[in-house]
Formats: sequence, structure tokens, C-alpha cells
Amino acid sequence: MRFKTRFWVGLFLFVCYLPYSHGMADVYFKISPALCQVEQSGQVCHTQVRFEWLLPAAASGLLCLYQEQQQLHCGLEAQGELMLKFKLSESTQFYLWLEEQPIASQGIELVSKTPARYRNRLHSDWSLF
Amino acid sequence: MNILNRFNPIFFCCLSILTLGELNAAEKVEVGQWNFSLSGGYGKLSNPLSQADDFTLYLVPSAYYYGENWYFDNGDLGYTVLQQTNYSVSIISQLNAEYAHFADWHPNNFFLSTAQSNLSFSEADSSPNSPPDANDDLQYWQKSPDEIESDETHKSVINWRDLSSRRLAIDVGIQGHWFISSQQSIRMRLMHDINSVYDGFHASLEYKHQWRFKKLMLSAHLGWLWKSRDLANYYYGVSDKDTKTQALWYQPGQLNLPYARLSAAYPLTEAWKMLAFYQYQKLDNTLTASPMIADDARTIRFIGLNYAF
Repeated sequence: MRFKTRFWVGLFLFVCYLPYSHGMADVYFKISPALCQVEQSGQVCHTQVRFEWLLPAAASGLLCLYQEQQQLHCGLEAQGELMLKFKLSESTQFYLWLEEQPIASQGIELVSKTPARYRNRLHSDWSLF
Repeated sequence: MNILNRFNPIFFCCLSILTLGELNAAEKVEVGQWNFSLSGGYGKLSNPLSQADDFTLYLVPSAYYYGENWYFDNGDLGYTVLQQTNYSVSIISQLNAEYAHFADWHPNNFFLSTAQSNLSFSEADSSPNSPPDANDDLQYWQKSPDEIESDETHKSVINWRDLSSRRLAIDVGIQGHWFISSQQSIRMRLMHDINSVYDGFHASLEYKHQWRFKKLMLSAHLGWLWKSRDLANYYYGVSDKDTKTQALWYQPGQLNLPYARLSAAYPLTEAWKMLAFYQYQKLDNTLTASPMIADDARTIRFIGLNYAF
């Protein structure tokens, strides 16, 4: 009984996940550079990013490029390249969306040559006395 | 002579706006990074002076910066001479907080607006209670705190037009922190005025505990503030410099001022958070007996939204 339950639950999950995982696995999506370096933490990084993608032949629908929640381009071809300039103040993630579903993602990590240092704050919150 | 017109309102900003720091969920701050935020909402900053209106808080800015050793945090300018994981020792300077009660300013000029903040005081003669004569008054300020408390209903009201001005004191001292854990810390301070305004000391001991429930951050402070007799006398004493009416002369003793503070913050986005704050400080009996003090406690309360730039 226990085995049967696990079997059916497992099968159900596999069937549900199959189309999505299939799509993700076959999509080629690459961005460069993957790192953006600044001198010190807190500085803005100016960079030009190259996007390359290739979808499987069976894939069809509206293809869009997103940065986090923001749409950058829509109506992309199944295969293509794109160069875009960015000012990054923090690490960010890019997504390819096909028919309102994310199918691939790549990120740019913001790094500083001098790593950020931290210390204890020495002031009480809302202190007047 | 009205002392209020002679106080520069900007100093009140330094004291009350900048010392109202934001509720910071993270106790660690990044070195070399300025942090600015603005809180908008509604709150009150009580003023215990006789017949003075409370200050209404609408917008409360906050700014702090921590270097390797130097730091500025909402009114405190400090140099940390010893930094370890569990404790630190700093030399700090700040504007004396007592001055804030004596400063006058217009609501349109500053971020923190007031509800009729101009302090107006009744004439001593208009008090329903007859002021004691000179001998009675001398005995009055020499009474024990319990006796003073029982006599408070018969307290005279000061005539502010006869008062001399109070000056802004710049305090410098030493501050020690013991970071017991990520949730608990103890802070100690001993301060002295360097511009010889009151020629005294004040010290404080504060325990802080923080809790986090998912995204909600709660913080509680319990503290004890001690102020020397010289400080108390300078700001809250009444002498022949203030009025020729001996019946109103008063000299408070040293002050013991326990306080408690509760604050809560709930982040809505990376930049926005809701916050609420309440602080209660019990005033010493020797202070409440002063003719210029009307309340037995002072409070700060605020609720609103905070935006971090």
C-alpha cells in the first residue's frame, strides 16, 4: 500500500515535470561576461553583455528576454544573439521566457576587488536619551 | 526675556531628528558605506516642560556612516579605539539631548513638524496655587523625593519670561559595548561636556535584546540613565539668574532616569519596511518637582513606513 502510493505520487510528479524539464534541458542560453568587477563594494558596474540562445526545433511561441522581473526584449527568434549595456549595482539574473514560462536563466555576479568589510553598529535605534 | 527665541532651531534638528535613527534589522554595517533612509508616518515626542506642546513627528530622516575607526550615526560622532568580536570601546561626542526640550523651531522649516511647538508659559502669579515664600521654597528643594512627590500638587509654575537662556552642551566621553550574542548587547556610556556649559557628567547603561520571527524584527531595550547634579541644575534648576522671585528658586539633585524601548520592523520590499517604536522614560522625583517640569515621564512613539535609499 505504501509502495503503491509512492509509485503513483512519483509518476504524477514525473508526468507534470516532464514538459518543463525537457524544455529547460534543450535550451542553449549563454551570457558573457558572467562576472562584473568593481574596485569597491557599493560601486556601480558598467558592462556590455552578450546574449546567445538556441531553442529546440520543436519549441514555438513568444520568446522574451527578462532581467529579473523586467522585460528587456520580446518576439525573439528561436536562435539569436544580442548585445546590451547595463549599469549594475548588484548581481542580477536574466531569463528566457517562452509562452509566459521561464525556460532558461543565467546570471551576472557583481564582485568587488576589495571585499566588503562589516563592523558592529554602535548606535541604539531611535535613541534620544 | 524669552529664552526660546535665542535657541537656534537647527540644533533641535541635530538633537531630535538625527538622533532618531532607523530601526536597523542588521546589526552589522558595511564599512565605508553611507546609509540614508527616511521614515514617514505619525508620532509624538513628548516635552515634559510646563505647558509645552509635544512635537509631532511626520518625517524622520536617518544617516549613518562607519569607517574603519571613525563613525557617524544619527548624531553620534565616534572613534572606535578597540574593536573585537564581542566588545568595542569608542570615544564619542554628541550634542546634549536635554537641550532639545528648550529649542524652538517652525514646522515648515524642518522635516519634523510640531503642533504649536512655541512654548508658552503662564505667569507665576496666575497659578491657582499660591507660591511659597522664600523660606518655604528653600525648604522645598531640600526635601526628600518622597516629600517632594507628596507636595507636587502644590508646585508653583515658573514664569518663563524671567528665565535666562540655556546653552547647548557638546558632550564627549567613552562608550563601551559588549556584544553578548547576535541577539543581545549591553552598552555603557560616560559623558562630560567639553564646552563647560554645565560642568557635569551623565552616564548610561542599556541592555538590548532582539528577536526575529520570520520577517518580523522585534527589539527591546532596558536602560538606566544617570545625570549629575550639575547637569540637572543647569537645565532644570531655577536661580536668581532666572527670576528674582525666590519662591521659584529650585535646585534638583542628581537624576536617575530608567527607561524602556520597544521597536518593531517588518520589511515589505528590499527598500521599504513598516516600523513602530515606543519609548518610555520615568522622570526622577527631584526633576518633576522643578517648577519648569509638568510631566512625570517623557515618551517617544512613532509608527510608519521607512524607505532606505
